[in-house]
Amino acid sequence: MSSRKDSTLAALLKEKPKRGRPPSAISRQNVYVALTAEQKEWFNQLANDLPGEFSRADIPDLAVTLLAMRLELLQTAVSDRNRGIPEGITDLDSLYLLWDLTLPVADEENYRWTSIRLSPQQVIELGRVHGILNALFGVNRSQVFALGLALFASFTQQQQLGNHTFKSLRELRDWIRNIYL
Amino acid sequence: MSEEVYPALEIEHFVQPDWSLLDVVVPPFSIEADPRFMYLSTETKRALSKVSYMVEAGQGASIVVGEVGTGKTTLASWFHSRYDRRPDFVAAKVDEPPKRSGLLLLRRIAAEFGLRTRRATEDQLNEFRAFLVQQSSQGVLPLIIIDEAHELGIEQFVELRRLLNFRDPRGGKAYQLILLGRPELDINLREVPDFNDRVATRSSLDPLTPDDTKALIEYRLLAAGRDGRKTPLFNDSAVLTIWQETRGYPRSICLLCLHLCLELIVQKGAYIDDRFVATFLERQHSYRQLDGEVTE
Repeated sequence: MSSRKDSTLAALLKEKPKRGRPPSAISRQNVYVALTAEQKEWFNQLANDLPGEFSRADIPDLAVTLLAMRLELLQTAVSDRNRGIPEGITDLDSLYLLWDLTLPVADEENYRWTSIRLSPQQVIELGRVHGILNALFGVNRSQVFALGLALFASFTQQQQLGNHTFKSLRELRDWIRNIYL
Repeated sequence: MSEEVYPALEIEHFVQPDWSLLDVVVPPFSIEADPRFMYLSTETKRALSKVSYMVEAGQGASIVVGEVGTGKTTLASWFHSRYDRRPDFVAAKVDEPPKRSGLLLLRRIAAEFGLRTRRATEDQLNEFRAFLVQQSSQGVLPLIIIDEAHELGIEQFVELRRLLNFRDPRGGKAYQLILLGRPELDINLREVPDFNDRVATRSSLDPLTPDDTKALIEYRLLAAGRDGRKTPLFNDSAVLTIWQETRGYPRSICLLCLHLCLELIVQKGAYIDDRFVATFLERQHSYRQLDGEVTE
């Protein structure tokens, strides 16, 4: 006797792993940025350096969180002055130099549009950081995200992130927050 | 009535080069430390961002070291001009510290701030303390910039450390200090560990790369009024020869470029290439000797 096949509706309703999208408590939003092939490759390298509980898909969230915190720290340093950012920080490159990051190589032809998926809070944070840096130096969202990515790559190396254990993304974010703020 | 030509004016007319032949409004190259012409190389940007962050965050002392002719004095002038014009800063710049004596150094700084100079160290320090409290109450942060800081003696570092210890009684920030000097400064600081521990950031100014050399020359020509869309005055081969000759030291680059421009004006030429530079260097033996004195 042949077993009865599921109906089409039942097959659709069945829980199946979604290709390329690990489960996330809050659904993430697509944000489009232009990245070079090298920057995309960073995602794969960084994914190996993350603690076991986290995957490649969490990198954009963490990069944006880290960038937002570092910028907040920078603004806190000049909070009682009459400027939003120190006098000697004259362009986006100055931020790379201030934070001891390798300067990006301008390679207009190799940029490709790609979508990153960010949690709603990180979408807001990226928008805020982009707004500040755009007003100061006229940079675009892709350049801002690339700065965050470079910052996160440096952070994972400095802090040996892979050697730590975190229960959730929130715990990891709190840990980063405690370091800087 | 015949037109009278005064001899002095005639000589001046002869001596003054016609810079308009190079399509510039003012002389583009000079060895004077002029912040308007400061080219921001990668190393300069790094120093600017780190030092200015530390100053505005009230972290205390910052150090910038570099060989002769790498742009320390220009950087010092930049910090002074930028911070002194801000309402939330008051800046004092000491171009060359007095020898050895701590009191003399304090008196020099006091004079730069417009404070009373005293004969006793403690009295002078009290003046500084009162000044800090007064400025802090108005939200103003005092900044001290000392150029040629490698000449500072141990006694002077001790007095500077005491200045850094002052705090606004309401928990505010203290005096901010930027020291610029030759690499010996780092060695001298090892003899004063108390002060050395308070150094928030260290930056170094290295000679320029060939790319930075080209960018510096182009930037100065642009700042002097030359249209950036025109054919470059110095072609790439000339820039490379200049870089090899000057080893990338900004002051030497400016001095050589100044001489090359003057030569070009005399010859009424259109641009400078490597042959022009080589011919100039062969003919002007005295230039190399002068350059040696400047950079060594």
